[in-house]
Amino acid sequence: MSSSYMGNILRINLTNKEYNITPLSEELAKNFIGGTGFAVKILLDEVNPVIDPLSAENKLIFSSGPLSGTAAPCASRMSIAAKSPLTGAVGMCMTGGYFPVELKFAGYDVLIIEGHSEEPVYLWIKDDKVSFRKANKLMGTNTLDCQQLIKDDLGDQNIRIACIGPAGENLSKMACIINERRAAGRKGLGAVMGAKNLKAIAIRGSKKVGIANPEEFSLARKRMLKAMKDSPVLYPEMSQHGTPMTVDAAWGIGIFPAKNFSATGEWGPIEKLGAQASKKYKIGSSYCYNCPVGCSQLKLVRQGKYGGVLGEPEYETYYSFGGITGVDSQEAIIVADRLCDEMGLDTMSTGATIAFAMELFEKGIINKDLTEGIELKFGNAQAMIDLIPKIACREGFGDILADGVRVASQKIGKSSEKYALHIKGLEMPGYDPRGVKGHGLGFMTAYTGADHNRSYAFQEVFGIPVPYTVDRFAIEGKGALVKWNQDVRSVTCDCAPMCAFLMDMAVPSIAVENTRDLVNSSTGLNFTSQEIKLVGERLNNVAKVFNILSGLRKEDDYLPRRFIDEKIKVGTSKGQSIPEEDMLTMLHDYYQEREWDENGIPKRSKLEELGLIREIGLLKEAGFLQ
Amino acid sequence: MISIKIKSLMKFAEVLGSHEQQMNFASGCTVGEVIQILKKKFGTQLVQLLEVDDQDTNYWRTIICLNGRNIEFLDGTDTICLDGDELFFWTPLGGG
Repeated sequence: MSSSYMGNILRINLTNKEYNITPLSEELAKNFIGGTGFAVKILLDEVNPVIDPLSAENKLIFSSGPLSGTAAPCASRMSIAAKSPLTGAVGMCMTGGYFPVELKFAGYDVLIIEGHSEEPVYLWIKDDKVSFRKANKLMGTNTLDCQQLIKDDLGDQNIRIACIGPAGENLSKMACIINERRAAGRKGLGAVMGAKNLKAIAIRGSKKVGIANPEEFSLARKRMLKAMKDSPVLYPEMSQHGTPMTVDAAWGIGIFPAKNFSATGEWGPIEKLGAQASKKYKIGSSYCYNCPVGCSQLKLVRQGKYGGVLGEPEYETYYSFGGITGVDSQEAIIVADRLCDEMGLDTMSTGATIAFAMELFEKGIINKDLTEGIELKFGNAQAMIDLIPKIACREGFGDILADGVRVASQKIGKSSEKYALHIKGLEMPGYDPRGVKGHGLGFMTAYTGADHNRSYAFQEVFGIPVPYTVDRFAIEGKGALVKWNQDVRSVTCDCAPMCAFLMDMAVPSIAVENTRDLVNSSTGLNFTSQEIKLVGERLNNVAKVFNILSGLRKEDDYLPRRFIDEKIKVGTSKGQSIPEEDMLTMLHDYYQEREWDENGIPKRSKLEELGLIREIGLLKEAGFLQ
Repeated sequence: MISIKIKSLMKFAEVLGSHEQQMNFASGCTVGEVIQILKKKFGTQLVQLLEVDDQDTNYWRTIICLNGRNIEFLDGTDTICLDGDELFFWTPLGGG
């Protein structure tokens, strides 16, 4: 029977410059479907959780999913996983664009990069053939030039490339992997690639992706397209404004973070940064493979010092280079976004780290001696922009900031850690958790750190009543909500895969059934809805086991003190905070829903139910289970 | 008389003329009464934005919030407004 799985895992060893192709196991497919399911399971099975993430023992696992490369819309998504150098936990990012489907067209469901190259290389994968090509001349290039140079070198403009910029080469823990203009942004995966001396992966394929039951697949696809068309948000708003419309949404409910989360509600420049203001900068949209939405907004700085700069800032970049830095200039945000993409830096962590430094400067904890003469106050857009290449290249003060807020606060000392807002080392996303408490619980418990994408509480941020209406200020019931958000999102978006925006805006009430029908009809597997949900739960438990074995404990699930001790002073979420007692109540509620013990260790019975027998053995060996 | 801040986004803000504005209402008015007054003042465009499609439960409608809280968790449209309150039209959006 035909299937949308390609049936192959490509394993490339950079140390001995060898590669092999092995079959994808049916067991892996049935238990984890694809994407992040494959990537995280392989990570736990093949990487010792206590290794140095920048050592040759770490692996980079690229995994597409069964829907990628089919006619399912918005399914060109890929998971990239490794042990994160930023958090020490599972480091996993999703990326879109065209590379995910090219991986399938080349004949692979999974690509595993192992070892370390003595000299800089890039990989050229063309169907069954892999070449190791010298990358000395590419070192130091920005990610956009790098991709063009490789295309020119190989004589094919349709090659898809994933690469790192100077930030990854310099092992910044905020370094990302860029493919086309998409980013596997967070958790420092770019540094893992840089530590392997791997500048880029170029790929081109000629194979077709099969479909097991074309008629059923066509029906399922039509149902999904109808849901997309019927959405009051997806085409009417998302196509027009993209994610930056969340500036309006976050401002509306008083959670748009400002000035390192010290002024949420007090400062929120909707007139300058909101959807209406953004319109005049937009010159077009960009699309992932087989996506009819085109949410990425191409924005142009038309005049001034940075005239001609084109960027595609998403909401999180408006937050990280606008809200928390106190900068209210669209031009500065576009330039910062473009620079981060070129340098290969995560816009979220980079902006958050600069905002942290700004607060220290405002409070006199650091001064111009350390900042090399820069007046690093909130709102100083030029200083913000100037720091980006310094961070990427580890120059001067940039070297202090290059590894994120946790490391920067350790280097600076002087009790600066209270202003370093992170969970497990990953800087906060663009939502003040005091005003969206379930979303905050999601940040606390995401296996990757403060990650909004592992369990987006659209019920609280956008008021969407699926699976039910939620009171964003309440503490009760948030454990069940976060578990639902994590498990459903994991399987429908991260494994199938599917763009997460469809989860929020088009298919939230039918997400599980939609995934079931598309996956079954494309692969020939036979999941029930309950089994689909279990895949998401299984993935979250596997990731938790990795994190426990890597040394993370219950305290790593806590919020930064700012959200516990300080209230939002003004605005629509005025008076809100998450006192310690409430934080622990929500956390214990979540552990109970997950059937984990009071320390967040999965119980044997839950792991047995999920068929995670090897994981039971690992926890037993480490002394966490009897 | 009491003064209430009317807050809105996107198409609502276009119809109402701004993201935020202070308006006066009779003391003791309810949320429902405020909405009726706004409908009369801003006409059919606002009425259409507030219409609910009762037949399709898959999708969401504009939510009314008082002081940041969905009125479903208060007394619904019978919730009494006080001087200095903020009424927010929480328009369907997504992203992030």
